[in-house]
Amino acid sequence: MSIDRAQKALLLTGAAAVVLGTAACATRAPVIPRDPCRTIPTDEGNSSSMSQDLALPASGAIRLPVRPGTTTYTSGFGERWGAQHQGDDLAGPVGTPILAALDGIVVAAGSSGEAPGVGFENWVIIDSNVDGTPVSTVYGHMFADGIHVTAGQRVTAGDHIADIGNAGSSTGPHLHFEYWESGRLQGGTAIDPVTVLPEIEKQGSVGTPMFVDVNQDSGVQLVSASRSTADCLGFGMAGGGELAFGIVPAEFEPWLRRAGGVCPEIDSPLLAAQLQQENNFRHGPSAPVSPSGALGPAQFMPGTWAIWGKDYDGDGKADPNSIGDAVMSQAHFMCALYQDVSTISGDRIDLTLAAYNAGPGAVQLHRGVPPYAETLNYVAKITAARATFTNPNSRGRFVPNASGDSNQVVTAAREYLGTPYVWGGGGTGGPSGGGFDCSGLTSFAVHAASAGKVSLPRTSEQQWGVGVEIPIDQARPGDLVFGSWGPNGPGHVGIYSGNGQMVHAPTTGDVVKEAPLQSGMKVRRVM
Amino acid sequence: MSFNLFNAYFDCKMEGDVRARKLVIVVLVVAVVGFLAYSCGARTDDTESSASAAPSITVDAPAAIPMAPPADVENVEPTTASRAAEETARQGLTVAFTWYPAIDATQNDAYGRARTWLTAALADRMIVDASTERGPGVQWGEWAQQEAKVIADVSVECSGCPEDTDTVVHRVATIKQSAVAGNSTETIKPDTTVWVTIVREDDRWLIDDIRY
Repeated sequence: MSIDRAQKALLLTGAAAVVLGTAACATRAPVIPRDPCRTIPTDEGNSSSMSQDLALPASGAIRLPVRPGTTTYTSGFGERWGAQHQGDDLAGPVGTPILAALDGIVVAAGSSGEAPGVGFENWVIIDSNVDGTPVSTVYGHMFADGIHVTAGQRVTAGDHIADIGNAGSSTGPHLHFEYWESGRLQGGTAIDPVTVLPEIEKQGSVGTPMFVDVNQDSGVQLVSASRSTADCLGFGMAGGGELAFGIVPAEFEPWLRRAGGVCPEIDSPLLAAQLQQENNFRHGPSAPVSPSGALGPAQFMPGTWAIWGKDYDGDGKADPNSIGDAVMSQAHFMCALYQDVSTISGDRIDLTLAAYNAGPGAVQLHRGVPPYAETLNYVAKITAARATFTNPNSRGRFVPNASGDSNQVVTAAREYLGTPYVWGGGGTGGPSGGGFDCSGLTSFAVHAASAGKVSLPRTSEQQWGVGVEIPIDQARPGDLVFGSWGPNGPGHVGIYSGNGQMVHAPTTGDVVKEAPLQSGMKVRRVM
Repeated sequence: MSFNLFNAYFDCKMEGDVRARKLVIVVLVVAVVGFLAYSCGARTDDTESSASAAPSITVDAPAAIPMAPPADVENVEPTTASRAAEETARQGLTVAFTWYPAIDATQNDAYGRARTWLTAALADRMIVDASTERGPGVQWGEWAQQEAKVIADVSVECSGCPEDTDTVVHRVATIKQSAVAGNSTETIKPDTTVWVTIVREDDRWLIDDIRY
């Protein structure tokens, strides 16, 4: 190729990048706290094949999420231990049946995206149509084997959906029950379930709640990305609410939400991060083809497409360059690969991605992620980017509220007190490899508290380059504190939590803890 | 300085066949690797002062540190041995993350060029035929078409790393890559972070593990 042609190609690539970048900006809605999801969505996209998935018949009357008399009301809605308790607690022995409170569709069932021992650990979310308005009910703290429904399943009020457990950050076996107007994953508002179900307060012999509800009138309003009724995107769809709003090119969004429901293990943020890595969301006849002939946004080889490519958009042909066909086929292929790698030890998502990149044969041959630099890089880039595409409201207990105050950084980090220190562990998505190191914890807490707006670089030395330095006597909770200085910068970072204390992941052999600041620490404000 | 040879190579418009280009690269690589190996070997004998640990050759400009440490903090100066281990990591990673997509079949070819800085175990694992049915991705193909070279700017950091011993040093590296084609340079986002184990074998520090 001549230099002239190379320059032209570069120019074209640059122009395409600008166009794509501008389009991405245009679809990214500002984060505004309000209730945008007010009516049940009937059709997400312009594809007729989607509308039938979203029919959500009106629910009958609400009923108790437990059999009367089997539990005791122990904790109410509102301020508790310095944070919002966004539901009511009903204590009962492990195994006590939990019942659906409303008719609806299960949109999440299983891990709440938090680590073992953190938050709810496991949850069920049921999206319901209550007189034409969207309502989600949330059930938390069950053990993994105490969940009896799967995402996508339709349930009727009174169905036995799960059993009371003691998983996550729980002080004893109980059901944590929430009621959200305008959709849990859509950035709606938690209200006290007692206001719609007064019987909750009468459960058990205690009679009066152990915790005084100081905030009964004001609902908890979450950060929501707000774009007219489009914000109901994902309501009532299994796995459909996990993708951040407006984060992918608009034409991909409805398909990615739908693809997230193909199997519970492969979610839409993962598929989105993969599409970014594969072909940066380029699609259509002009989408670049790889040197070996891989096609379209999901880069299917013709032979693989012949097996997995289907006509999901209903236009009469299976086209690897079309968004709907490619994204849905990608999800089905990934779900199958996830099953393929089940006999190999290691992180199954990593192995699944490696199988997609290098072929299932390579993963089988090497009994793990093959030692191919491109594949190692592919897996690392996608797993790191996954959090960027994740709806900040889709994590179990910690959800950033609309005020955006930096105190939430401390709240997010405190969720993980006691989690082991693992050098190289953690990142914007939470712990990894069994824990956090210092900068992994700060990456997670700042990303979660800023509703995904602030992604810190991964190391403490690089994090020192973000934000502005603040005199230590003006530090406020949520600022980052740096120490262990070396010639390349600070070897340690923590989160200032007030009164001369910080939350940090100290060192190998230790756990995430709250401790006094070290001498000589410097402060930076990053959000 | 040594890698300017590669720049010079890429600056000149090559119309020759791939075989000739490969030969040129091989010759250059042998020269560079030999020179660097010689320099490293010479330097590990030199344990007198930290000043003498300054590399006598430059693999690449020292990685951009986002912000120098404040003047009023007490720096913990690493030992000469730790600095030597860090220098091995920086040089080895710079070579392992510098790619020539027009010539390299896969990214593992760069590990072959970095052989001098790797233990036998890591070399055995990474210097393999990594070609797959799908082959390299779209981006790699675009770089190859542009005859771009991908250069790596490596910053060796600690970020809570375990304490150094006489024989094992752990570091994390932030690698900023740029694709250079003709007169244009494009920063590759995002940065790559790898966790590295450097071990002492006889009198040399070698990279024993690179975890993505």
